[in-house]
Amino acid sequence: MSKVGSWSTTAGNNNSTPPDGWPEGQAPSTVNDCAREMMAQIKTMVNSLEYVDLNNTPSFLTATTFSMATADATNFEVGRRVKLFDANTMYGTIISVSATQVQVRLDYHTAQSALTAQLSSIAMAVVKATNSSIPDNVWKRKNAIINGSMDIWQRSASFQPANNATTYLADRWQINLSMGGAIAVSRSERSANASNVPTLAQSGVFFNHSLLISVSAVDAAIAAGEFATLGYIVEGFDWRQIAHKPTNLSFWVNTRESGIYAISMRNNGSDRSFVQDYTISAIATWTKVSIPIPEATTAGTWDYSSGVGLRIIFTLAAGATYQGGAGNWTAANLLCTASQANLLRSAGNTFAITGVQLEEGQFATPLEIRPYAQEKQLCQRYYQRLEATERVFGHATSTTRGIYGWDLPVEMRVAPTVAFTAVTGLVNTDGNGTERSVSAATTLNITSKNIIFDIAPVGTPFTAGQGAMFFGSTGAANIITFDAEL
Amino acid sequence: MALYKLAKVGVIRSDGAFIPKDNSNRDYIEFLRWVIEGNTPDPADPDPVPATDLENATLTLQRDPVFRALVKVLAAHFGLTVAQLVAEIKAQV
Repeated sequence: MSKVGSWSTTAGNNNSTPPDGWPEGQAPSTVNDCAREMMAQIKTMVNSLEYVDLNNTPSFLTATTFSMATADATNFEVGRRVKLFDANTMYGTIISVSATQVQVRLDYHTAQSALTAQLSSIAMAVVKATNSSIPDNVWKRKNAIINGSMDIWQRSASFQPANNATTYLADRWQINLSMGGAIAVSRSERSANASNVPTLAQSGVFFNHSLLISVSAVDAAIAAGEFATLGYIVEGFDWRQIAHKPTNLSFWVNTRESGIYAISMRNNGSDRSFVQDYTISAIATWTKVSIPIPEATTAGTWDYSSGVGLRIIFTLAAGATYQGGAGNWTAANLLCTASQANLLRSAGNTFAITGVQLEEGQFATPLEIRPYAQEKQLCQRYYQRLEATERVFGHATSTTRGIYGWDLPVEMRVAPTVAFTAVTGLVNTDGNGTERSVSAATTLNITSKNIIFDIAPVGTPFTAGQGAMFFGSTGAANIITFDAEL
Repeated sequence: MALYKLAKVGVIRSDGAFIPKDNSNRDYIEFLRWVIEGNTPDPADPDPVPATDLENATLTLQRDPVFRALVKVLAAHFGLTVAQLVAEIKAQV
């Protein structure tokens, strides 16, 4: 029987002489031949499902071109992959199509670099260049969350968040407390204890870190206006790419306080919010949570540029003021439902989280893995620091003053707040390379790309016009911080 | 002393952080909120006093190789070190 690709979509046309077809009035003795031949052809096709032979017979023209007897613009399209049966089986990509002539760019082959007259048949890749069968989120950077696996901690590895304040934790993550209890936050590492992260077997990811919240002082009765939340803010530019479409929020969580928790989402103006519950049944067990989010209404105040695009909130406890219905975007500022558990009910309670992903589509797909260097650069758009190993160059403008320019390695979201955490840890060098202590440090100009520093040495060691440099002394970490967080 | 002090780049917070005048910087937004609440920042420090003509002339001479050679010759002539000679000249000025 001829190849599957030669079969007709009109049943009556599949009437070639047995075993290639099923003609009207065929001899009974040929029926089993046709059936067996059909099985063989289907099996042949199944054995190489990535490519389908559509029964186009190519005629060799040049090293990269062939012609066909019949034009087939439907299947021969620029960008589609092809499998070519020549002296060797070769692969390539169609780069031009004109009438019945096709040009391909061949993949490297150890034994053959060009088409020859031995070219006998061609099979087409199942996926077209203009495919419509692969889910949208495969084609884009799908996870809108930066540092969802809690690997980047530029500020510190442990925190004692203040009450009635926002405290930034692992890069991009923040905690907001307005209540009676107290908590601590730390980086929880697999290297210290394998149970600090989900296992490779259960998650399919070799996690290194989780963010661990530990209750150090109890607030057993949550008042109406009290709350404790872990938060993340998606910048407007990133939010716009998935805005007002169905999305999914997935994450791994491990807590010692079982019960019903909530996630909530809020827009820029805090005049639209969404709440959904999830249940943690087993304590001290890593659980994968997947929450489908319906498309957000465009009503309300939204930001699609460098401002607050979407606030994502993991509610740890919240009073009646912030409780409401679940499952819909509403014109309110809600954090949870009335079922919300209270993590601060008992001292020693913990809540650990990692592998957070927000993506387009209703279903959670495997966690997007990005290179560490790329993840850190994404974080540095919002926060970065000048460390002891880095050198800032400039020149002396007088005996007591040096002006220095520092190009930020990653352009920041906005002009950052610049803080000198240890001026005494800075070292100036004069034009002769002699190190001088620093008496004062300030900034002359701050942009999202560049900082101009004004550093004064102790005494009058400089000569105007000579080169100068400053850096952090050995052991003095986190010398200057640049903060453009949302 | 107020929580903020005005500066060339924007404002300086009491913890020493330099906050640029950028309406998208959350710290500057916080500063504006603080002002709206009725608070007043401290005034900016005065600009540094520019170098005097004498200081500028001295710097120029210090970079002049002929002048430096002359100082060495004079110091040797009077049996002084260069530092002693410079101190003597400064005392005369």
